[in-house]
Amino acid sequence: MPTLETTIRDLENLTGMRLPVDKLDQLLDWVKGEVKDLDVKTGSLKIELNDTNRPDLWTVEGIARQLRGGRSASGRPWSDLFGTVKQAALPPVIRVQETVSSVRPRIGGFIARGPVLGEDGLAQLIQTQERLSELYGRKRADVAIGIYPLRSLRFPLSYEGVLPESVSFVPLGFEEELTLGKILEHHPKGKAYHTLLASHQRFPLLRDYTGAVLSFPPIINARSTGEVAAEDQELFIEATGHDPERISLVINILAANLFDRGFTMEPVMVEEEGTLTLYPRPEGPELLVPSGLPDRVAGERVDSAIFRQKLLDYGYVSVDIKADGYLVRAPFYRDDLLHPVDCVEDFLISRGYDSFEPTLPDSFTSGKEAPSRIAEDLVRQLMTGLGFQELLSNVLTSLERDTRDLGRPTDHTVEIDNPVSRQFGVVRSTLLSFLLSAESQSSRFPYPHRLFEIGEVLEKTADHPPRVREKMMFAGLLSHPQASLSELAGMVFEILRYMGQEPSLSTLETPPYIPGRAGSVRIASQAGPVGEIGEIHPEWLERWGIRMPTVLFEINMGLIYPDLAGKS
Amino acid sequence: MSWNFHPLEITLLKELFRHPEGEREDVLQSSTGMDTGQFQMAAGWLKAKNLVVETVLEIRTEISLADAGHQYVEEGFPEEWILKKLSEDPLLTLDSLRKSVGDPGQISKAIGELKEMGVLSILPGGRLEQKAPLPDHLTGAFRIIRGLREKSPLILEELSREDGELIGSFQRKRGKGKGVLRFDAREIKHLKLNSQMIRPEDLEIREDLLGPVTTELIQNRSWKGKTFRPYSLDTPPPRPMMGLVHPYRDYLELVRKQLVRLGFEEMTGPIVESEFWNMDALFIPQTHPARDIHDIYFVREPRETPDLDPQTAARVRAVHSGEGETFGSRGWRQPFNEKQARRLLLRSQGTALSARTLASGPRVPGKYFALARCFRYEQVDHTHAVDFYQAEGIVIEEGASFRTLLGLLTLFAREVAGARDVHFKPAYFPFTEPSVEVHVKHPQLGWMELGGAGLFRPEVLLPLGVKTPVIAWGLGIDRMAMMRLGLSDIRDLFSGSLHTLQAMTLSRAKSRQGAHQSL
Repeated sequence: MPTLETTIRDLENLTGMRLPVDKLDQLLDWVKGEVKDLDVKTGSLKIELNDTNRPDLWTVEGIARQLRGGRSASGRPWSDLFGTVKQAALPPVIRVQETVSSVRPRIGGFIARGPVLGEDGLAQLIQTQERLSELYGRKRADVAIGIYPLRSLRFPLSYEGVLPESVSFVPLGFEEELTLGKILEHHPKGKAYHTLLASHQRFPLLRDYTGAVLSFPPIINARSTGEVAAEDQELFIEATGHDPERISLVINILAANLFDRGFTMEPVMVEEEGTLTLYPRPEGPELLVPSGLPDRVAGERVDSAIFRQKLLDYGYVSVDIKADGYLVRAPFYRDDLLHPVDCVEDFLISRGYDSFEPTLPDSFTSGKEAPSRIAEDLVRQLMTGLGFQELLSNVLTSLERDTRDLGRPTDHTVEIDNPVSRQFGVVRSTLLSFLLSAESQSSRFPYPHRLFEIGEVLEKTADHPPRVREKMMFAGLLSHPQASLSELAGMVFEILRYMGQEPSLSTLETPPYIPGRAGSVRIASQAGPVGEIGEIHPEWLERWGIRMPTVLFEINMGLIYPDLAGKS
Repeated sequence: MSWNFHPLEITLLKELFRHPEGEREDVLQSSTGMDTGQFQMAAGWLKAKNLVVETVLEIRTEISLADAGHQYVEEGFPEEWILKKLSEDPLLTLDSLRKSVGDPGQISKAIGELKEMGVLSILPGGRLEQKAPLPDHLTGAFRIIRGLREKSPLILEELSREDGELIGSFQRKRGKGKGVLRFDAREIKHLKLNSQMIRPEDLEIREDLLGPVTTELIQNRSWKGKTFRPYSLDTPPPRPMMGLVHPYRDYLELVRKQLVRLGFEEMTGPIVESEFWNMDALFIPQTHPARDIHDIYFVREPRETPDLDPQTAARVRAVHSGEGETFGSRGWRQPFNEKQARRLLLRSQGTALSARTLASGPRVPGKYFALARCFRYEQVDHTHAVDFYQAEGIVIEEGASFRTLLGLLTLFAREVAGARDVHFKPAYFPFTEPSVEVHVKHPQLGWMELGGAGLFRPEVLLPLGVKTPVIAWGLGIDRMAMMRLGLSDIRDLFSGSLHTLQAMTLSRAKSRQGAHQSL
């Protein structure tokens, strides 16, 4: 989830409202945000934004604008985005060269002129740049943003692809000239983002009219362009990537934010293989909300005038009532409306969720537990009846725990490709390890110990390619000074009899059991074994730090109730 | 006042009457001939009855051998061993020395220390040369440690100051990493009779009273005309191990029963799931951050599911890419990669089960739920578990709407969380629109999030062939369970410690006593 850092002061300035601390959370409902952290003394504020599809709300300007119902903090109408004086007939141009088409083909940009940016404005601009490139731009893979003081460059600009060793310049933060290849190797930003370019022959480069390097997107700007400062009044902003819609949205959000801070935009023309595109494009998407949809979604009759008004209050540019529905136009800094139902949600939020009267679903349905619960419940009833305490363990465990600590091979264990830690690196293939682990943690608890667990385990089959088989197991442990195979086998047999089976044992020789004191559990209706039981060898007890005679069993429930058999 | 004493209490009391000024616990224990457990029990009971006063005299530090210590005492200390090797083979090099042992780290550490003490120097080529004998403080410490083979534990406070320092310095040097010695602090307690409370006559046992009821006693009627010795009712009876359902399971079962009662049918499904059912069918774009390798556990082998219905996949692809039949949606307008859809992962949300149910011809009207094990990619700490349970479900009903959704959540707030005050917050989930978070007011903890819900998007329902509106809901039951079980650390839900388990069970019993909370 995006988290935004700002101050109460900046948010109050931009909204033009007093924001009492205790009302803040409720106010932020409108932007699906919540206060993460608030320092009452300094007024510093962290807001978490939950809508991953509205990057305009990941900025303090965007939040303030939504709270103002889509009106700009600058007090000007959006039609003034490009100023009130007529712009020059020919806008500045970025020429896109054919050479960049295979690596990062798209670029958009604009010029912003204003009063001064100010400390708050600068801090937020940098944060917005970071957040949009990292989260919306997916770590700059989809979109990366460059910001420059306008004085450092001359139009027309050229966006091109060059060989990594053919161009060198001094990157921001460095003193000496490096080739593009060397920047990827040595510059911190190069190291961080080199995978975006590593497989390409040519690297993207943005130069100005004089041929001077402005930046090496998506990695780093040239030092000569200078860093943007709080007192800057004229900026050039560009975004590069692959998808023109994403670039356009990012440009529009930045333009809207700067407009809120008092800036006026000058569009820049991108010239690419004969097509001309002007950025920003201050037109939001248009959508037809079919009449009847608001009623159906809300669950009540929605008055069309109110529907229209609530959407306008929420920042929609226009809502026209037509014969077949509402023709709505969203503001240009939003691109999240995929389906008319999204507009209906905006209406519900604008009217207030708490203003709708809850009603209960009115159809009758009969409740039912999953059939597998019947067997599980039976096991639980029988085991607790024998005085066994149920355990619940994590499904994830370590490979060592699951296999080597039991003296078992590793080939049937399902491993995780990207574990957070080795401690939770595999999905358990048995419940036995946790029973032993619990026993080793509980030596100070009064004996005898009788423990059991029911739960899913996974098995990797020996097929080619292997499949994953999920099995429902139940397992138990008995530990006290006289614990023996015969005592536990008696209990297991009795349980199986109460499940309608006639059990028997056959020879089993496997760690961690004492040879000659372990067996496979069999039932008449199954050709193969359905489980195992045995006395733990003192050598293995020692490994687990257990100082008490201990006996274990594990049974595959799916083999006793074939109808519940494992899902692959 | 008349007392009923346990035989162990009587033994200890008799001993205490012989020491009117009181005596140290260890002396009392050996003179009564009890083992430590018996002695502690008897002393504890008497303290509880206020018949005995306890004072802590001093704290004694017991020194005993730890694992590495046992090994060194048997096989020699690494320093001695190295010097012995060197005297046998003057051409010995660092490398060959390291290769000759199982734990080269131990050797490197010992060599480093010998070098620092000026005993060894390393010549060019890695050869070793002895410059001086082992210093006295080291051989002295070795001597004391060897002594532990015969008599253990040693009492630090009883050693000479000099020996104490030798061992102490040894502990500082080695104590941390290797664990040669164990230092355990023990309290030496002094027990004294509270003579105002009890007289020696109180202890007289009447030999004519009967002890336990035995089968013989019943059969030969030897009880006739005699009296049974009364038991002490103050003596706490032993606690048995209970055979109980796990307290968390118990809670989950209550939730399950409650949902069944409300007309929901239970869904089950695999914990290894494909990205298709976990993500794609739920209209989560393939580039969404929640699908990153830092958010989902992927299975190493097999990597992909062979089962993916081509027709369903094609319809889901259309709404993602925004090409073909998109049911009135613009779609994500991003390429849809089928290989990614087949990738196997550990289910990250119970909603995967709802998607499978929707695709397999559910009942209309229908209500479904699951208590699903889910996995989140997170560093484990006291609020984050590696796997957890999620209560998830759907309501399929002609006319299901935002207001029905609110009604259902209000019902859950009342029936599942026992809350009256409810607040609905706008929320975002990629698969529902509108989406809502429900917050409830807990009597003690104030406002807390109960769960999230919404109406499934057309992009989810229509490709799966469902034309009826569907409410999707999820409840954070782990949090509610922690409250009921009195836990502050979520890891304790899956603890193997019987003490923790017992504490949870008792806390659950208390919260039940606390009445009208429903679950």
